[in-house]
Amino acid sequence: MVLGCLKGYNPYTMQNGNIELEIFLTNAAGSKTVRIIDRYKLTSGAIQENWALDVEFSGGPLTGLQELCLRMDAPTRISNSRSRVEEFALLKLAYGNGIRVPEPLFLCKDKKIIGRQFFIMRRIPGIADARRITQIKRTIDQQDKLLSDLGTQLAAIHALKPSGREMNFLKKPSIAPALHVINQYHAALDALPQPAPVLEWGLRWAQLNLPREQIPTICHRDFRTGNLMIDGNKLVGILDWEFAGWSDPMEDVAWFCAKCWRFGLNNKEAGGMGSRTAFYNAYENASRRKIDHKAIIFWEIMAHIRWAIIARQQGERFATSGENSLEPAMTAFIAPQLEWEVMRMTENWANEN
Amino acid sequence: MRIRPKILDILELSKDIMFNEFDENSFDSRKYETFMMANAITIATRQLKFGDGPERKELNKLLNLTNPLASPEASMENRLANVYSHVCLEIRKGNFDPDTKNHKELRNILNDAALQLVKEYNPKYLEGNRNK
Repeated sequence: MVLGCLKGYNPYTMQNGNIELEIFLTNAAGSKTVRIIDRYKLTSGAIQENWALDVEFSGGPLTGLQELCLRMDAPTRISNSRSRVEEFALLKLAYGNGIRVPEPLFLCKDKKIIGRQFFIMRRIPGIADARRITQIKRTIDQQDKLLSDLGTQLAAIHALKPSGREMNFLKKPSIAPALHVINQYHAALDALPQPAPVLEWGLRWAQLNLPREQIPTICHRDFRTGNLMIDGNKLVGILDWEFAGWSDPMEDVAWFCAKCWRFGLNNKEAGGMGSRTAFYNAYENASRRKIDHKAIIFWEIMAHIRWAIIARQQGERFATSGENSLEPAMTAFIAPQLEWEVMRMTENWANEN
Repeated sequence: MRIRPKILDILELSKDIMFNEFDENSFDSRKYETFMMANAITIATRQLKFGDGPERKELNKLLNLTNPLASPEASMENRLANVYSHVCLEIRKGNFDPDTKNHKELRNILNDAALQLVKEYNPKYLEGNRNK
């Protein structure tokens, strides 16, 4: 989970690379001609970059105007995140198993086309902005329906069975998922120039309080409000599969419910959208797996540790890597409140156990 | 110990952006950047108000608890970084585990230090957490 800069990044690739991109799309779609009508950046994603493409296809199965999304690496990346090739394979696996994700269409491994590897998927309607999503006024019934849907979809993710050569990159850790994650976070802290004793404290607590039962499944590992495309009160797609891999399924459940991902709506513990009950019930029914409440607390503390590490890493993009941008610099300052939560949560655990 | 990057470096960047990139038409299109710069100025003001008292207090408490090799001539920031590195290592080794003598004391120091940083970087967060 260490940030690094991509060599050879050209911020103008999307502006200058349209002819090559049109040729790529023509060949990939089996069309006679392809014309990009419009393009614009969808998000300023800290890790990946998404572009909307409106494309006119002539000939082949996509004939007509298609609303597409191009996803490529951003200039700075987190080293534990998946490559676009791997993320495309994961998206295909999810789509093929009926999970609500944008339809993956074409993968381009050739960096010459736009300067980086990318894939093309269908653009789906809705909003992914967590603050807007959580501020939508919903009745209890609408909240419960949405959260039930999310619980069911998460259970379907945890039932995925990767197979075939293109999924070989998904290696099961030889140790319990929680230990594997603790090792990763220790490595990330070691790579930071500034010591972070509160996070060390949290990780030591984690080592001493590992969940009893951890049966690894495929997990999304970034399943939270902000990575979900919502149209009104309906889940349209689960986005951003760049961290997916084997882990304890309770990690995903806890990541979604952790206080740091409620966007200030602390009384709505399930992603800032409603109560945990509907989400948990749907998850349990669909997965035939009981929510392990102690494991959830464990993984919620780990969620705060993870987010605090990422925040500090973002700060280093400015402080060490010389990226003259306000956003990563200011993101570092989220770390204090996350770290304070780590202290409070581990203390509450000590008082209750 | 205050979080990297240093707030003064961000103020420097903010100043450059304001002088070199902003004009009278900028506000609407650059609202988010303006908000971030205002936030940086607010954090800097709070840090000025608090001064180095909280860090000095934190350093003394940690030095009473643990005894790393450090040059007393080093700056407070370097001494704090040094003692923090030492504490991190000791935590990882299990030398502050719940059954150890100084567990509670270190917990209190870390909790106070974390709380102090929230007061400097985002005190509003504390308002939302009263009685919770």
